Amino acid sequence: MPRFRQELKEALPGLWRYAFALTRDRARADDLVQDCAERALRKRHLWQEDRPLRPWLAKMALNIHRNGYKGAARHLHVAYEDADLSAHATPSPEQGLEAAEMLRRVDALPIEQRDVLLLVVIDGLSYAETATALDIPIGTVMSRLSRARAALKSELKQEAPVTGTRLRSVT
Amino acid sequence: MNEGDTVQVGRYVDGEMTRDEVMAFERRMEDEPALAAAVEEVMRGDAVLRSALPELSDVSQILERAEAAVRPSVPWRQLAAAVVLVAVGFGSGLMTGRSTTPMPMGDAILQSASAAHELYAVEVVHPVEVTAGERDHLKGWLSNRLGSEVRIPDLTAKGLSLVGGRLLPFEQGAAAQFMYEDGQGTRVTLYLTPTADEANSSLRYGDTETLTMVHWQGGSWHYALVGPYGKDRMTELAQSVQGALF
Repeated sequence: MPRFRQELKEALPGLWRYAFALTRDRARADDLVQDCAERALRKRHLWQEDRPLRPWLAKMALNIHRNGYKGAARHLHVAYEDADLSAHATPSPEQGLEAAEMLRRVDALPIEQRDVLLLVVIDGLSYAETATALDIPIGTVMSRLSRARAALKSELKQEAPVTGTRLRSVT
Repeated sequence: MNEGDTVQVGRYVDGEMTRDEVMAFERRMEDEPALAAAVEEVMRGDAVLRSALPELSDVSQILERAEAAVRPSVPWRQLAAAVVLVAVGFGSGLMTGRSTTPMPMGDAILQSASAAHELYAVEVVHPVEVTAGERDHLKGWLSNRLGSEVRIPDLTAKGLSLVGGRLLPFEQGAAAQFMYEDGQGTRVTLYLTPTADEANSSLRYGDTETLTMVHWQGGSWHYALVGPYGKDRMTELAQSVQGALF
């Protein structure tokens, strides 16, 4: 089934970023993605060609992560050699600060808003795919997403003036 | 901006709008600076979030590791399970061991069928023992050796011509392999072996990196069709074989 493999391969970069967003660790993201890929391959006979693979993978990643991922860093030894660090090897100090601040705000979101935000913005799922992955209506996807974005934005506005003082607290 | 507009900003940024909606929304943005600013703000926020997370441009190593982890057990375990289901469905009394006793039949047939395919499909000089030119002899000989009348399905309507066939060992008995090829020389093999337990099953699938396999039982025969086509084409061929046999 070459088409299955192709779809799987195309889904993996987005899934890996999503896995990183969940785990915040390259090696654990690698393990989580590999785990999802293995499960998908084992269950490929259940896959129907008209059904997109990505929501299924995203759902798996989230479930595995939530159920306490015990993958125990199977591939720590390869994670750093394999990782493509080039794109983010040298962020400017401001970018690094802004990015760290953004992640902190994302973490502060209510979990149901964060789930939707990460699937849409990081994994790149459509609203319909996100609805499938999280088993919620598409209207709920839209409202949670706009609430998440509004919360991030209002935090940005509130905190913008104190950026200078916060510099000291960031290591 | 009301909540409806906030949702529309999201739909615009996330590419969820139809072409007409996009055009209408962009016209609105020209008249409403607040709307355009909201779009820009969401795009900027998303960009910051994306930049906060690293990318892994080469996922092929992860995929390869996943495939390696799955490869040795997947098709066979599934097929063994499928054959257990067949046994349940037809009450053939093979249930005693349940899942702890492996069901060797479908498993063994597909393993033998794919191994035979890989061995002979690439053969240029001697792909078969008896060629299609001696169809009657092939039929008589294999029927004789397998102890049951063999029928050789005609798949020319599906663009496959018969190359010939051969006799192969299978467990304590024998099996036959018929080879077909299409206009490009792509080969498909049909593997069949008789069984004492008469039953009919639906199609069950297995695959390797390059081959798709279909197994089914029809009466007192187990069949396996092996070829490099996708599942749809293989299903179509399996159905043609079934049609030609009944």
